[in-house]
Amino acid sequence: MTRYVPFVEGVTVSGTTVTIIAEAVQTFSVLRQWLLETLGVAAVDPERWYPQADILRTYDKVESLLGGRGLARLGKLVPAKAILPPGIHDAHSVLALLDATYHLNHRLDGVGMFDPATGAMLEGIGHYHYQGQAGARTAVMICDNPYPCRFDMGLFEGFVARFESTVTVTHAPEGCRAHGDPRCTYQASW
Amino acid sequence: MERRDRGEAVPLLRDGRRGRTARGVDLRGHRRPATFEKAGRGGRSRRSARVTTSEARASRAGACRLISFRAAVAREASITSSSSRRPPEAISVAVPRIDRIHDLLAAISLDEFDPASDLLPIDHDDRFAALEETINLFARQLDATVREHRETIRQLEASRGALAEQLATVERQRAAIRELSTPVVELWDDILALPVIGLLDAARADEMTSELLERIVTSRARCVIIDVTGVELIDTSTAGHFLRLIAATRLVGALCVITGIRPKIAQTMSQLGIDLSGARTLATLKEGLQACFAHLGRGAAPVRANGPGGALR
Repeated sequence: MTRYVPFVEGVTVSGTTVTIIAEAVQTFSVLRQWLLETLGVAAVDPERWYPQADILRTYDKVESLLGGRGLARLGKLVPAKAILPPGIHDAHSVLALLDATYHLNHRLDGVGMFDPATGAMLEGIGHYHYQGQAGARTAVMICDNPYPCRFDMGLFEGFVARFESTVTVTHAPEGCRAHGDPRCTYQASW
Repeated sequence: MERRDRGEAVPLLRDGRRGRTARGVDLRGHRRPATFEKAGRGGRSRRSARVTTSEARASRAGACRLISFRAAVAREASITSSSSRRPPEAISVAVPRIDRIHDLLAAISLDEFDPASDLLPIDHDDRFAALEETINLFARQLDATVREHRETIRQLEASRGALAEQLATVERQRAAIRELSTPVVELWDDILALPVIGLLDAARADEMTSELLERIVTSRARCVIIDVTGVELIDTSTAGHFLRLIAATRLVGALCVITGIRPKIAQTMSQLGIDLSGARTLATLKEGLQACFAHLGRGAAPVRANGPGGALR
């Protein structure tokens, strides 16, 4: 079984993101309880920041209980509840800005990992690399972050589904983080 | 079964000694000496016990077959447990087969199960395949049950929707009836009429009062004629409603005239001591209208071929 661990110590995740995750697993009360117990809280506070290691442990639990299918479902549910920042108006923009949004919701040693004013981004949590062309109904995403492969597949599907009615996300054959490779490559089509 | 095939366990009836059961009766109900062995946990401790003579007698009556059977089962378990000291049979299973089961169970948990694609392929002939078949059976049965429940819920929701629609229709009809039962009509300029027909209960009286006061205010009427020609029965309660209606009318500054009191009603009211002195009472609607004109200083009603006044001619 894959163990999901942070790349570096001192990384925290925004309470807003954790709230969305908690809401996504709400129908699975056991998982929700597991998340809260892992975080050591009775309820998720959107204003707080939570250790990334604890969030990854929750993903680990989801995988051990519900397999890759469960992770994909969780990933798909998150975008449905996420509030998109201004400037995101289609599938391309949501995927292109995913890395910035991802870093915006993480802190390293208490410091925000993305500064929207300057565009400066700290390293330590990997990336969501976007390769796409405006107008095309497909995009390539390359993930080298510590989150589960199947979760990210669900995440892309969920984000594109906010703008498109049909979405297909496929995993390229070259390498998979679930098998110890450094990155996964996906193609999202709609 | 397999244990028997391997000859590890001896069925109770194949061996005279082991066939002996509690209370001295074997599975066939044959009498046995009243001595039996009781296996301890895991078959490691055994002890002998002698059954009392009276118990042995009771068992001879053949009434304890159930107890005997239980003892037989206990012995069977003991034998199995003894044989379990041997290494259990082991089989090797490829991880993808386990992963498929994991995925199937996850699909069921996530409500994504599709029998067409998620059932386990049975392409081996081993003990694990039996488990896979059982899991498939469980999944199919669960899926069928879930579908049945969903269909039941759908039908219940459809019924509830139809019922809600019926209730809404009834409520609309009730509102229409309420509206029809309190027909406040503008008889003339500044003059409203409220013909009361049938029984007057508290709820209807409240609605009448509310409707009449609203119309007085909105139309700025100065006179109200409450015509009770259609009231055939009156009691203290009904009279009380009338009195409150009259009082409320006067509070908003309108003249209140009661018309159409039948002799029988008048007699009843008199007997009940109901005092309508707060309102002017007249015999007919025509007289009521004339009283209103007088109050308004308009003299007699103008003659009209059509229109509200025409009915009075």
